[in-house]
Amino acid sequence: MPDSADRNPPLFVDAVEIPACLEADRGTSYAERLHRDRTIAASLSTRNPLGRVRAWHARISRDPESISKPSLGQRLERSRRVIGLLMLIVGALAGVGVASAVFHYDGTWPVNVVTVLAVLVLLQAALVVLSLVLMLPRVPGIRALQDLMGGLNPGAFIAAIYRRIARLDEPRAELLVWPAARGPAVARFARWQMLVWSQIGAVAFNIAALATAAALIAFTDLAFGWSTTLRVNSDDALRITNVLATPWAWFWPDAVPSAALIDSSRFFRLTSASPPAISAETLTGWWPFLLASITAYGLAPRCVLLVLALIRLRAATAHLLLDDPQVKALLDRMSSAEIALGAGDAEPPTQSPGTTARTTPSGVSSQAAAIVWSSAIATDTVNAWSLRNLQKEVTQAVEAGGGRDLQHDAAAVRSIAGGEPSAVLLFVRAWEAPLLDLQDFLEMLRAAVGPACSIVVVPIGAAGIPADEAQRTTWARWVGRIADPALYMESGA
Amino acid sequence: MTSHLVIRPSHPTFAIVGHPNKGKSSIVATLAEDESVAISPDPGTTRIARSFRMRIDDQVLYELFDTPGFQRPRAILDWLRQHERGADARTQVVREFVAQHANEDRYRNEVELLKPILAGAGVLYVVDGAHPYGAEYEAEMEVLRWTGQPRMALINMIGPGDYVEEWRRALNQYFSIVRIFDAQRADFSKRLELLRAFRELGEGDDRFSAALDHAVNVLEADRKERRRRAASEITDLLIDVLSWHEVAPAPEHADQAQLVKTLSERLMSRVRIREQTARRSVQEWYHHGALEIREQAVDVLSEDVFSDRSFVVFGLSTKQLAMTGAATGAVAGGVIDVAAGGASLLLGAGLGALLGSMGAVFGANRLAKVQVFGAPMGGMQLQVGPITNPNFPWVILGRALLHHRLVAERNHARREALVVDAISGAHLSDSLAPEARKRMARAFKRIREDGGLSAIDREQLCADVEASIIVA
Ligand SMILES: Nc1nc2c(ncn2[C@@H]2O[C@H](COP(=O)(O)OP(=O)(O)OP(=O)(O)O)[C@@H](O)[C@H]2O)c(=O)[nH]1
Ligand SMILES: [Mg+2]
Repeated sequence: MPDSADRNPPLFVDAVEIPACLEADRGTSYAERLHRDRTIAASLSTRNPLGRVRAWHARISRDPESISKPSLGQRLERSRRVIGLLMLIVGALAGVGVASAVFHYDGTWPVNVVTVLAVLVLLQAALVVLSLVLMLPRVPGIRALQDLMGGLNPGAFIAAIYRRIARLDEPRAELLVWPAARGPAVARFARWQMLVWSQIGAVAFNIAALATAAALIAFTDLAFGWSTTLRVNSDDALRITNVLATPWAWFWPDAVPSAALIDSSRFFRLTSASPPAISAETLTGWWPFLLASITAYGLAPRCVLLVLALIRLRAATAHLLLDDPQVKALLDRMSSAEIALGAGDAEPPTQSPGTTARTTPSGVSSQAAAIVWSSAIATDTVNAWSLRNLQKEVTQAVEAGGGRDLQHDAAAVRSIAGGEPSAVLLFVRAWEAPLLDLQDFLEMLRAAVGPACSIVVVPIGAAGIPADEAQRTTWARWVGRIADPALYMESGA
Repeated sequence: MTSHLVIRPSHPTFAIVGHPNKGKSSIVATLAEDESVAISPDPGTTRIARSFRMRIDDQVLYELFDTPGFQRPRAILDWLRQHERGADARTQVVREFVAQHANEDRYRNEVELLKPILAGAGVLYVVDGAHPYGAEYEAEMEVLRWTGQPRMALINMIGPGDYVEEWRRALNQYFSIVRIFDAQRADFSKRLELLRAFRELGEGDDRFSAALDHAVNVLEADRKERRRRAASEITDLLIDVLSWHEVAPAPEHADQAQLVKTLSERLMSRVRIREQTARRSVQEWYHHGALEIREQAVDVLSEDVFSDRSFVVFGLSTKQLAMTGAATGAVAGGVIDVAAGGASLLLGAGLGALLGSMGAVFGANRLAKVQVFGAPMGGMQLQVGPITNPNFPWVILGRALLHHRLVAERNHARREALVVDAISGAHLSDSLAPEARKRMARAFKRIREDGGLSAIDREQLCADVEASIIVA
C-alpha cells in the first residue's frame, strides 16, 4: 500500500469523503466557509489543486468536532480491496485449473503444444485486445461494443456480485459498478477500476498458470508433442515458432524450438496408439518455449495493461475529486479574496415602539392658545386651519423652535402662560421625527402653564394638509410615551 | 494647539449623520450590502454608532459609521457658543463638549455621532429631499461645521415630494458637496459613483483617494465574481436536475403505475429542493440570505417548477425549441421512452396502464423517461428519469436567471419581501443568441444521456449561462 492507512487516507477515500463533507458543509454560511477556507489556504505551501484540496480536508477532519466514524469512503475502499483480492484469487485458481488441464499428461499422449499455445497465447491475446477496446475513449462508434463488453468483464461481474452480497446500496457505490455509474467522471473512474480488477485477475491467472506449468515440469515428467488437423508441415511450424520466439530468441536461444525438435515431435493420433519412440530429450525440449510464450504473450502484456490501468485509475480518481462542483467551489473559495462590507458585530436590539396617545376629552374648551413649532404652519393661517380641522378658535399664536434659539423659546412659553389658557395647541411638522428638543420644550411649557392645562400636539403635513397615517402613528406613539396625563394628540384627520 | 492637529485615520472613514429617520441606516445598508441593519419608520431606531468596514482579506479600505440622529442640536450649539474661544479653537470646543458629556444620558445621541467625526471621519449629512427644508436643521449643520471635518450632504428621497431645490440652496451654505442619493433605489453603479465622490472628502490626500479607488475596483471585480459563481451554480443545478433519476425494484406483481408515481414524486421533490439550494447560494453571495420572495398576482418564482404555468412563462416556444435542434416530433406531447427489448415486454398488460398513469402524474407536460430493465443480479427495476421534457431545462434556467437578476438588483435598504412581477421573467431565454441556445440544448441532451458533463463541456455551458446572465 503506498499510503499509510491513518495519516494520509488513500486518494480514493478522499475522493469520496471530500465531496460528501462539502455537501454537508453547505449549511454553513458562505462568509464563514470563505473565511475558514481562506485561512487554511494561506497556510498551505502547495499550489497543486489536488494537494490543496486534500490538505484542506486533512486540516478540517483534524477538527475534534468531526469525529471520524467508519465512513462510506473507507467502506468503499475496503470493498475495492476485497474485490481486488477476489479477482486475484479467482484469476489464480483459473490459472491453476487451465494450466493443469492443458499440461495434462497421463503417459499416453504427449501434451499438445498447439493446445497450450491456443489457450494460453492465442486466446489470451484475443482477450487483451478486448481489454484494449475497453480502454479506448468512449467514442460513439464503439460505444455499444464497449457497453456489451463491460457487462461481460469479470471485474464488473465480481463487483456486481460483491455489491449485492455486501449490501452496498448507497448511490455512491455505483463507483464500483461500471454499467451503473452515471456522469462522465464517475463512469470514467468505474471503467478504469473495472479494468484494474480484470488486469489483476489476468496477471494472477498468468502467474498461476506459469507456476503450475513450471511445477508440473519440475515435479512430473511431461512429454510434449504437436498435433493439428490443419495442413501445417514442419517448415510452417518452424516459421511460426521462430516468429513467436523473436522476443526472447536473442537472450534465450534454448527456448527457440529447433527444426529437429519440431520434426521429431509431431504426432498423429490416428497413426499409432502412442507416439513413435523418440528420445525423452526431444519430448521435453518444448517446455522452455512454452513458458517463454506464456510469459511474453500472456503475462507481460497483462502487466503492462495493469500498470497502465493503475495510472489511468489514479488520474480518474483525481478527476472524480476535482471535477466535483463542490470541490471546484472550494478551490474557488481558497483562492478568492475575502471581501467584507457589512458590520462585524450584530445589531443591538431596537426598542419597541410603545403605546399611543390619548385623544382629547370632549370637555376641553373650544378656545385655545397656539404654538407653531418650527414653522409647521404660517401663523396667520393657524386660526382658520384650527377652526376648520379642530373646531377650535385660536386666541393667541406664537412661534417657537426651528431656527430660533432656546432663549426665544423660553420667552414664547412665558407669553403663552401669561394668557392662562385652558388649552394649548402645539403645531408640529408631521413628517419630522419628534426630537428630545421638542420634549424639553414641552416640559418647560407644562411647568409654565400648570398641570391642568390641556396640551394638544397637532402634527400637520406640508402646506397645511393633514398628517398621513404613518405620521400620525409615529407622533401618537411619541405622545403616548411621554408621561403627561394632560398631553393629547389631534391631527384633524 | 491640539485644535490644529488634524486627525487622519489609517483608512478613509465616514460618519453618516443627520436628523432621525432620514434614511441614514438605509444608506449604510445599501453601501455595506447589509440586510441586517435595523431600518424602520420609527424615529430613533439607531441608538449607537456602528462601524461598517469594507475589508479585503485583512486590509480595511474604508469605514462607515451609522449613527443615531441629532436630538438636541440647539442645546449643543448653545453650549458650544457659550464656550466659544475663536474660530481656530472650535474643534477643540466640540471635543470638550463630548468629553464633558460622554457619560450623560442627555446627550447620548450627540456624543455617539460626534465621536467618530472627532476621530477623523468625514461627515455625510443625510436629509430628506422629498419633504420641505426647515430652519430647525441649521443648528445641527452648524454643529457639524464646528467639527471642522470635511463634509458632504446627501439628499435622500423618502416619498414622492420634491423639495430638492430649496434643500440645495440651504445645504450649499454649509457643505462643499451636495449630492442626491436615493437609498432605496440606488443600484450598483450609483453606489460606485457615490464611493468615487467620497474621494472629494479626502482633501487631496492621495492615500485616501487610492483606498477608495481600490475599493471601487474590488467591488467591481467582486460583482463579476459573483456573476461567475452564480453561473457556475446554475450550471450545476442544470446538470443535477437533468441527470437525476429514481430507481426501485419492480417485482412483476407490484403496482407499476403506483411505483411510477412514487418515483416521479420523489424525483420532482429532489428537483425542487435542489432549486432552493441554488437560490440560497445565490442569495448568500449577494448578502440577501434572509430575503423573502413573494409574487404579485401569480407566483412565478415560487410557482412550482413543474406547474403548467411555469412551462408557459419560462419554457421555450415550440418554434424556439425546434430551432435548438433538440426536439423533433416529440415536442408536442413531451417524451416518454419505454426502453424496448425483452425487459419491457415482460411487463405485458401492465404497460398500457403504466403509460396511462404517466399522463395523470405529469399533466399535459409529460416530463420524464420511464424504463424497466433487468437488474444485474436478476429481478426487474423501474427507473423514472432523467427528465426528458425538452422544455424542462429552459424552465429551470429561466427561473434561475430571473431569480439571480432580482437578487442582484435588490437594494439592501429594503425590508419588505421581494415582490416579483409575473411578466418580468417571461422568456428570459429569448435573449440568448441562437447558436448559444443550440449549444446549450446539445449540452442538455448530453447530460441526460451521460448523466453529467465532462469538465470541458461544463465550462462551455457555464460560459453560456454566464453570458445569458449578463444579457438578462
Ligand atoms: N421610500 C423611501 N423610503 C426610505 C428611503 N430611505 C429611507 N426610507 C424609509 O425611511 C425610514 C427611516 O429609515 P432609516 O434608514 O431607519 O432612517 P435613519 O435615519 O437611520 O433613522 P434613525 O436610525 O431612526 O435615526 C424607513 O422606514 C425607511 O424605509 C428611500 O430612499 N425611499
Ligand atoms: Mg438608523
